[in-house]
Amino acid sequence: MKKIRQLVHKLLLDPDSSVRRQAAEELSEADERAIYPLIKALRDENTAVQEAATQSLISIGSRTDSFLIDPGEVVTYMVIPLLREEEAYLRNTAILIIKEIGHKAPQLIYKLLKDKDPDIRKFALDLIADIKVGFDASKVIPLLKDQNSNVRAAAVRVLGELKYKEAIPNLIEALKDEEWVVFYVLQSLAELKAEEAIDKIGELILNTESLLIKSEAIETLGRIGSEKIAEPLLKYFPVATKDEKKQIIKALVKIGIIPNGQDWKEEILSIFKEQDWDEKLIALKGIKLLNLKEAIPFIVEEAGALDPNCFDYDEKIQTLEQTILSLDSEDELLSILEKNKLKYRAKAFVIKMLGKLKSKKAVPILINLLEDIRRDIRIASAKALGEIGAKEVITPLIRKSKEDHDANVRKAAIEALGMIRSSEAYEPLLNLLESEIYIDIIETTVASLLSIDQEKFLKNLKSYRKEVKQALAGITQSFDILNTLLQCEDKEVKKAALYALGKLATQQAISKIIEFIKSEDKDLKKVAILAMGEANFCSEELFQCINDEDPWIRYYTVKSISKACAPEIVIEKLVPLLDDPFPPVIIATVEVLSQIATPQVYEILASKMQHPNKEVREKIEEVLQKI
Amino acid sequence: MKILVVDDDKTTRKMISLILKSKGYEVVTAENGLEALQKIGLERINLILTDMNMPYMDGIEFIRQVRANPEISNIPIVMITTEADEEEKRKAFEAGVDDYLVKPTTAEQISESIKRILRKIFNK
Amino acid sequence: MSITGTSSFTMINDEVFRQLRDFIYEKTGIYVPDNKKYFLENRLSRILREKNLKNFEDYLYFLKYSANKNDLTRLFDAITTNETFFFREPQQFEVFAKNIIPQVIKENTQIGRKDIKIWSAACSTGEEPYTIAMILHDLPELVSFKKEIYASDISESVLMSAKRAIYGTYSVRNVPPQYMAKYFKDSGGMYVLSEVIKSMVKFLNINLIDEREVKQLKGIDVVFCRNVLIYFDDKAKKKCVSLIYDVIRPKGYLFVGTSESLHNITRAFRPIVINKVIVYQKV
Repeated sequence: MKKIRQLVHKLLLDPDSSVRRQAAEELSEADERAIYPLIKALRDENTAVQEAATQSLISIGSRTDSFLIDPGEVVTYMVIPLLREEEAYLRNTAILIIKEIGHKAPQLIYKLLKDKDPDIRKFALDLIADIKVGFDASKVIPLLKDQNSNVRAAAVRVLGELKYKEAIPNLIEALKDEEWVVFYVLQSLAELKAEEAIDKIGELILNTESLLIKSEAIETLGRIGSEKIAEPLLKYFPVATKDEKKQIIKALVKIGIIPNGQDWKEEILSIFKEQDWDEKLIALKGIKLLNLKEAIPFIVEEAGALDPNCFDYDEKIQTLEQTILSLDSEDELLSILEKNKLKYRAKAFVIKMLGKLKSKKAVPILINLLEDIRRDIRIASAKALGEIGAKEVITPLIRKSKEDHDANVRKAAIEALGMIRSSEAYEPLLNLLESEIYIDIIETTVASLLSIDQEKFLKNLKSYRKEVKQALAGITQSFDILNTLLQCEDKEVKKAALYALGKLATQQAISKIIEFIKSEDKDLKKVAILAMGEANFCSEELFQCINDEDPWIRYYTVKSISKACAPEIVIEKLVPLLDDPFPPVIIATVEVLSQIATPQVYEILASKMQHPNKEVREKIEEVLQKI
Repeated sequence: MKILVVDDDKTTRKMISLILKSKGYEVVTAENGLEALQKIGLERINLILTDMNMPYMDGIEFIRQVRANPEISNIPIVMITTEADEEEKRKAFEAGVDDYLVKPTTAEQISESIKRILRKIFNK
Repeated sequence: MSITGTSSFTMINDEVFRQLRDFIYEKTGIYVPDNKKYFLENRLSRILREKNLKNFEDYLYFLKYSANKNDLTRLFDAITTNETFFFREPQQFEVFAKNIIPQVIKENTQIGRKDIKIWSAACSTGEEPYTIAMILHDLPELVSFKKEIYASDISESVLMSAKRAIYGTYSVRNVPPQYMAKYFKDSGGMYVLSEVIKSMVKFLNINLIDEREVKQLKGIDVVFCRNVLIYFDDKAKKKCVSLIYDVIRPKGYLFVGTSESLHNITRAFRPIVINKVIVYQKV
């Protein structure tokens, strides 16, 4: 209580701006008494204080607890007068605040739509368009006839932003408005994907005198994107300007209708060379549609220029790959590789594509590239040679698998040898296993050896190192092999084999797993439980683990029972675990039961709503809502 | 000639940019005064068209900042705003705009205004 | 009998993704958007394998109930680790050395201060704070100044690596020759930073959205917080920038990454542009 008064005092009177700012920040936790002083502080001379006050008003307005009236409504009500302030900054701050909390007070904002000041009507419309949730777009329709054109434009924008399809006829009508408003109408029709408007927009393109509207109308048709747009666009094409032609192509590529002709090809290439990725995507579609081989060098260049650290790198590079592979591109790629000086990423890309195309012609040059100084080139070349798989590549790949100083290159070479399955590679690969330190390389080597000569490799199973055995457990699907591995001394090998038995899930495998469920060793027991779930096998032995003293064993048991057993059994066996002392066990049980979702389950869960643990309560609440 | 368009409404930004590009100007855009100040520092801007009501930094404050910085203070500025009020207009001129247009504007009004300003600079 | 490849890649279901995302957000302020699920799977699959965990759901419970600080660190590393190098975005350091430092010297001298405090807020493996240290060390006008350089990161393991201060060729490729010769020792392809520079930097483990942790610092003249904000959503950005605001002295400076901007985050810093470099000044 007293604290709020002190903070307000500091906020409004302290000479030090950092103290005032601090006070404004702390008042975000206060009740409605802080609202007025904070609004006052918006006029502070220091922008950092203003900003902290703004943020605190937003936090108070966003709160849902302990108020009689919704604080969002109170703050909105008190901030609205600022919209009429002289100072532009205060008006904009009010907008910033209402944008965050105005969904709690739609009535207050609707009222502003009838204000006599057009600026206020526009503010209200802009707020509705930005907030979106909680507003009824139909209330905006009358404003399409407002006498102020900025208000009309803002109303048009609301209808698009709120995706109010019912208003499409009104918007079509508004295409007769003045240029400024029509520009907004086109945006909204595009937003609504209004096919009904295509004819009228087509007419507009032919008849309007405004170049601005003409070009925007073409773009709008492209954004609406149905087959029906082809007719008006093709009709206009002969008389279109160069820029308009380009826009028409963009629109038509999207719907997959492109006439074959030299000028169309050139336009598509020039669109691909533009900066924006979305534009490039459009061009790539056109390149596919017209089998445009001239585009290959540009695609390669683009692939080399993409930044692999970007979030969307994978998506982009895949699109480029698919385009290259859809064209008949082998010779073009080879000549790029031989002639051009490429950046290394572009080069790696070309190499990969030649591999995918299984290009025999590329073999000699790829063998040379195994000695490139850049490791990415060596990796790409090894992989590509594996895909192509000619006889003469084996010796160089074996050498790389041993000698390259970069582990990733060695791995790529080993994988490639596995793909080619030549017996020549067997002994050298086996020798590698003796000293290899990296686990993933061991796995790769084992997989390659199995693919070359499985029988031979398994004959000496016992003599291999434990890492090799573990790797083997992960990839084999033979019970005998796994059983042999289970006899090994090493526990990690045992665990790997046991888990693999679950995936195998034959009767033999399951009997074996059951033996281990009874094991005294907790680690093995846990893995056996997991394996039962993996095998989807419901058994008495599994039920006994429900009472195990180790909480993580109980946790995994819940998981496995839910996977392996029928719903009625799951309910019967797991309900007692809702009283387990270990929260993760309860949460897992709640989760499992909620998937069954019968009225019985609902009742059982509802009876546990008062559980002392907060996370458990939250989980129950969450799943009950879903049921 | 490179023109900076400052407006928080993306449709308006697009419309004005298209108008300017069709007249052969290069265009840079910003969504408020703060972003605009950065853009001015990063690129050589010959003229500014700015809105009044924008979050984070409004048009008036932005103009004051430009006029206060000797390195950029002589860039001509046109305000394009929905505010038709004489009082707002007076404040804008006080802050240092060279011209004041009320939305909705047309392509002709904008290009007339730009020409007028360029002529004035040329005659000096 | 057939052979399948090893599966080192685990898929994540939507519900678990949401929970894991919330967990990461709550702990770090880093928001992983929906379409970046693949990215998360990719980065975290290896941890699952190391921990012998079967799926992401188990990983989530593990994080919530059994994980110690190292496990959390490991998670943060996986999400945030970013390749970096010395003198990254050199034009910023140029402006820092030629324009900002003289200004700071002038301002501090006026109020009788004989020191300068710099904070590298997300220092990763140390390249940034050591770059700053080399610059400060070589400026003659700072000879009589006490130079305090703080460097922080959310991840303990990158801090360990920062303190070791041994770098590969990638990291040092931008280092100007005069610094290279003076401050690095080439030891078989690895570059060992000299003790003089190492000892100038004090490392701290700080989560940038944790108020208590950030408030260890105060009165900082210049903050570098580059290429971190991109990982945050608007709310976390605002929080982080507001905390930084509090530890910077009045009229102090902030550098963010060249592809980052504060223009729709805060009004509490004013952008100034010097030679095409944006520096934010506390108002």
